Formats: sequence, structure tokens, C-alpha cells
Amino acid sequence: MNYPTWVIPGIDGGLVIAFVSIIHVYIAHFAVGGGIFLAVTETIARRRKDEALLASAKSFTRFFLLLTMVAGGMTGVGIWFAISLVQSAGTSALIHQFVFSWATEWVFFIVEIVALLVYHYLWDRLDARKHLAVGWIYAAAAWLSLALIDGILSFMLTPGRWLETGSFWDGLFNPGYLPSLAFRTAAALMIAGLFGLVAALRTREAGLRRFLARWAAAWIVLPMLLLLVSGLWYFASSEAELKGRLFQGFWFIGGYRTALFALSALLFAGGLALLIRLPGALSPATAGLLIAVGLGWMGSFEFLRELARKPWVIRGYMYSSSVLAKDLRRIDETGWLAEARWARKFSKPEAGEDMLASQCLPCHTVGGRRDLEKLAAPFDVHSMIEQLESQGDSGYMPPFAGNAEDKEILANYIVRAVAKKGDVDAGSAATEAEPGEEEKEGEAPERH
Amino acid sequence: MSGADLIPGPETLQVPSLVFRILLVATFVLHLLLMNIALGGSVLNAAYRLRRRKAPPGAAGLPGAIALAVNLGVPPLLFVQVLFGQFFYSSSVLMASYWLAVIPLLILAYYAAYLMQGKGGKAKGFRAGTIWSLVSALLLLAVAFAYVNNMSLMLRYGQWPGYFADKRGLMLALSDPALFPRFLHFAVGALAVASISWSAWARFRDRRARSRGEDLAEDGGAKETGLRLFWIFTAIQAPIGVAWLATLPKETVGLFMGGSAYGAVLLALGLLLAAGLLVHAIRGKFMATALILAPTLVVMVLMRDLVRASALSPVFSAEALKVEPQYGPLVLFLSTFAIGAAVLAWLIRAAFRAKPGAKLRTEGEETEGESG
Repeated sequence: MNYPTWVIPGIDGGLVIAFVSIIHVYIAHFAVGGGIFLAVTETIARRRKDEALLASAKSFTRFFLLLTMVAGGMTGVGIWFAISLVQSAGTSALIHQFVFSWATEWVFFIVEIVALLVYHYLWDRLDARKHLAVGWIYAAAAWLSLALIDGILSFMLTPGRWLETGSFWDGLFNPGYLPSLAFRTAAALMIAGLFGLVAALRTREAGLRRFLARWAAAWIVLPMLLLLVSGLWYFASSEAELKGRLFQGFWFIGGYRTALFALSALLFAGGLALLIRLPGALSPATAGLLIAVGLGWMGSFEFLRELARKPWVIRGYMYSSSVLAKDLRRIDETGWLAEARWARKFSKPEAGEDMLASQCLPCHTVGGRRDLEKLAAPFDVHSMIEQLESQGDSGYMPPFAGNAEDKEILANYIVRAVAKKGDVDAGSAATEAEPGEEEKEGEAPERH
Repeated sequence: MSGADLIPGPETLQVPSLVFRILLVATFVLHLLLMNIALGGSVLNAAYRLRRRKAPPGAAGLPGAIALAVNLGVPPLLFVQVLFGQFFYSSSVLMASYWLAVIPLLILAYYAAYLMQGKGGKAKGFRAGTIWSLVSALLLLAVAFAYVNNMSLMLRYGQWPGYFADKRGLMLALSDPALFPRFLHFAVGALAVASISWSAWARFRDRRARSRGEDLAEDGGAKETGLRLFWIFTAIQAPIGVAWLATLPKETVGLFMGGSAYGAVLLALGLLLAAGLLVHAIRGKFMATALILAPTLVVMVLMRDLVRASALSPVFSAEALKVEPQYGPLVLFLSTFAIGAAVLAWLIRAAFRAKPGAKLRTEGEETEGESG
């Protein structure tokens, strides 16, 4: 209500964020795990004085740099762009709370970039000890940047004591912080193993290829044990409400939950097969398949996390409709239209359109996912008003923010203009609903 | 409904706004420098390839420059959101379709900068590389245009009610008379800074070769050409700068013309420094020119800051933002920054001291890639 809503026909904001963020999150976890993978692999190669393994690690570094620094780094900035367009108020709240967290993460980010450039371009020109040190500097900086971002990500789901204290540290080190960090670290190592298969594929010599396939597979399988433990820890440390949400919860969560378990099993089986039985069977197709399964796994996890958070952007603080929990009662009394900035208050159909954009379109679309045209088809204005009144009880939709007049305006707009039941000319539709009460421009109520 | 009615309410800060303003200016200067090298360097590189039918020496550093320009863009983008979030988020949503397109454009420009290096040697590979260099330069110019639009639109809240006619995020600041002069000012400035950076790169390489007792490498006349291009572009800046000033709102121009002592001093300093740049660059004095460039960039950024403050002054003042003090996070950032700077210094020193071994040509194009 404080900010305008970007309305893309047929596409909801969540999908925009999901598209950018799932790609980014996958590559970004690789950037963390891959750094450790490279540093460990180089350490082993140097100790064994294994020139062939060293050459493989060097060749893998170029692939790693091109993928993580270009696509990973840019999509990272991309998430930031995407969330500020889709959830301006939520982004603003996070930025004002965690600006120095992000600024600190940027320090690690620039150390990562410079270290990786030095590591890659000066592979043959730095002496061995120094080169290895650069590799470990990269790995440490990458993990520390995860450790900071994890604070913000887990905060949105479990803000904990911050809700009372407003303290930065309470927000950063929230109840979900440590289990989430352990889980993401494990995920990063597993994803390093998945992409590590590429290192094996790029190696021609059969013996080394076999070793690298096994080595990468070990990085897939072993971190999965840590994933299991940290996942259980994460779950056990969650509040009862969140647990219920994941397991007794809503049909749309169940699909992602099943996908996460099934894909985990698939990754574990694939990794184990490569590790024990079939390192020779590694082919571009099997590696590509496993990497794709990994992407699906990451996507399921992120969707699950997002859905578990509904109807909040920041749990207990801000709803996905950008309304603050503490303001809800006031808005219900004074009216949404009286408080909203980006709304035309002088004409009811237009007010309805703007209210729809602000309160519904953050999650719904007209003509796409969660299509309001279809969803509203069974309703008339009266039952739609009832729906608006009770939507907050559903547990996954935020409560409608506004007074009786707001509800009537929105219900009219949804039923007549969106679901096209009645006069498509929304002007007359609203006039029918509330004849003769249109406000004139300039007569908008005072803001608070 | 007026645009001023639409401006969202501000949020509270953790430390006084002055801290954020200093951080914003300081980090923006760094971003500007790298952005200029990346953007101006990409355009110069494409022009050089088209004209001289070969790649300019030093071009292998471009992808690294793009990476660092993006990286150094993060902190100013962060601080601008803290100080001016209600303006910046609004304008971003109003031009959302273009604004989000910045990301794929940047990714393509970045990959194109890698592809441009091709496999060298062969005429066909070179032609393809030239096309990629053009693609990269044009994409970066498009990104710059999107940025100039957003930074203008966030100040032009009078234009915001246009949102209600079309919510698809397709608004630009094309009706702003200052838009194109502003864009040109940045683009030509980028060419100037990239030119002198090219000269600096060649000089640095010579000095290192001498200290190692090696033969000087061919630089395609980068030292002299770079400096000459620098003063040519700086001279072109003069009328563009005047045009930009002329298109700014009267109240803003008034600040520079004596309405505010601070503004008048900034303008006088800016003109003086620009004259100093021209005189020394024309006389071929590299070191003096480079030394004057640093304070010039700072003064330009401060002038830009004043233009923004002036445009928003009827509705906003950063000093008036509410502060609920929490200094711990700032200490976390500053101490990490100090450690990070030390690590960066160590990395860069290690890179410069790396032995010039013969094995460095691993993939053809990487000879100049040291450290970024």
C-alpha cells in the first residue's frame, strides 16, 4: 500500500523471484561448496605431487569462474532487483534492518572476486603455497558470505526475539540461523559434488577420470548425511505452527515436500552408485541429469521455505500484502483507501483496481498462476465479501486489510471486472454497488 | 492526485544519515571509476578493433573490470536504498520491465566480453570477436541508459501518477530535458576515464618490465593515445556539462550559481579541476593528470548528490530521517572492511609479485589478466 505494484499480465511476483532466485541460489551454493572442493582438491594434489590432478583442478577452475562469477554474481544482484520490484516494502524493511549485514557480505564478495581472479589467472605463476592460500581465502570468504546471507534468509521465516527487541543481532542470529546455516553448508558441499562431476568429464585419462568421478560422488553422498541431520535439527527447532504447516499442512506444500524427499533420494542413490559401483559409467548425460535433479532439489527446498512462510514476508511482522501486522487493526478501522498511497480514491472501479494490485496481485494473477478470474468464478459480490472477511483464517492468505467499504469496492471489482460476471464496464458495476457515493478527486481522506 | 501524494513514508535508520551519505559518496566514486573503465573501455575496445583490425592490448582485462564494476555497484545501491528507498523503489517499479532487464543484459554483456577474446589469430575468430565486442559495448550502454532513467525518474515524482494508466512497469524519464545530457555526460566521461586508464595500464606494465630487466612489450601506442583521447573526450565534456546544467531545474542551477556557498564552491572547484585536467593532459603530463582526476571524480559525485538533494528538497530531507541508534552493525561492517582491505592488499601484492614465467600462456588470452 505504501508502494506501487508491478503488474505483469499473467505472471505473479513470486514467479519472477523464483525464476531468478532458484538459478542464483543453486549457483551461489556451488560458489561456496565449489571453493572448498577446489581448495581441498588442490591441497591433496599438492601433497601427492599429482600433476595430472592439479591440471584437472586448474581446468575446473575456469569452468567454476565462468559459472559462479558471471551467472552467479549477476543473478545475485538480480535477486535484489527482483525482490525490490515485487516486494518493495518487504525489501525496504530488510534493507533498513540489515544494511550493514549486506555491506559486510559485500566485503566478502569482493574478496571472493579478487581471490578467484588471482587463483585462476595466476595458477602457474604463484608459488604453490601462496596459490593454495589464495584458494583457501576464496573458500573462507565464500562461506562467510553465506553465513551472513543465511541470517537474513532465516530471519524472514523465524525472526524470533527481534519482533520484541528490534535488535540487529537478535534478527541476524535468529532461532533458525544455525540449523539453516548447517543445512545450506551441507547443500553447498553436495552441489559442489554434482558440478564436480564436470571435472571428471573434462579429464581424458581413464584412471584419473575414475578417481575424479568417485571423488565428486563422495562429495554428493557424504554431505547428504549432514543434510539429513541439519534438516532434522532445522525442523526440530521450528515452532509447532511451522512444523504443522509442513506436515499436516496444505495441499500445495505437500507437492514440494514430496519432491524434495524424492529428489534427495535420487541424488543419494545416484551419488552412491557412482561411488561404489559405476564410476566408469559417468557420462555427460548422467552428470547433466544429476545436475538437473540438483536444480530441482534446490527449487523444491526454496519453494517449500517460501510457502511455509505464507502469509508473511517477515513472519509475525509484515504480510505478503505488505501490510504490517501492527497496522492491521488501525487499517481495518480507518480503511485501506484512507491509508494507501498508490490508490485512486476518487472513483470506485479504479480504487478497486488499485486495491486488487496491492492486496491480491502480490500472489495472484489474472490469467496465470492462481488465476483470480477462475478462482472468483463461483462467487457473487456478497459471497466475495464473506471470502475477503474470512481469508485471514485460511492460514496461507493474509487477512484483508480495510473496512467494510473497502471490501465492498474490492469484491465488486473482482466479481464484475475480473471474473467478468456482470457489466464489464467496471464504472457502472461499482456505481450499482454503491450508488452516488463516489469520491471526487482532491476529496481523499487525510492520511495518517 | 499529485505525484507528491504518492511518495511512500520513510523508514528509520540505525545510524545518522550523514554516515550513509559519506558511505554512499565514497563507494559511488569507486563504482564510478570501475564502471567508467568497463563501459568506456568496452566502447573504445570495439572502436579500436573496427578501425585497426586488431585487438587493443589490455582488452583482456575487460571482463574483470565488468565484474568489479558490478561488485562495487553493490554498496552504493545499498546505501541509496537506505537513504532514498521510498523514491528509488517507486521509480524502479514504475520502470520495472526495463529495470529487471538490466540483469540479463549485464550477463550477456559479460559473457560477450569473454567471447570477444575468442581464440585469437585467425581472421574469422577476430571478426567474431569484434562482433562480440560491439555487442558487449552496446549492451553496457543500454544498461547505463536504464540506470540514468531510474536515477532521473526517482527525482521526478511529478511523473509518477502515470503509473495508473499502465502498471506494467514501462515508464521512462524520456520527458526529462536533462535525461540525454546526463546520459551523454556519463558516457563521454566513461570514455575519458577509460582512455587514461588504458594509458595507466601501459605505463604500469612498462615500469614492471623495467624493474625486472625485461624488454618492453608492444602496447599499440596506449600510453600516448590514451592520454590524447582523454583530453579530447574531456574537451567534449565541456559543452555537454553546460547543456546538462542548463536543463536542470532553475532552483538547482541557482544553488551552483551562488544560491548556496557549498554549491558555488563545488562548481568552481569542478571547473578549475577540469581545466587542470585539460592543461596537463594536452601537455602530455600523465602523472599530474591522473592526480587531478581523483578529486575531480569526488567533486562530480558531490555535485550529483547536491542535484538530487535539491530536486527532492520540497518533499524530503535525509537529515530529517528518524534514527533509532544501533552502532554494532556499523562496527561489524567497518571492522570486516578493514580486514577485507588487508586481505585484498595481500592478494594484489601477491599477484603483482607473481613470477612472469613462460607457462603463463595457458589459454591464449590470459596474459594480461593479472588480478583485475
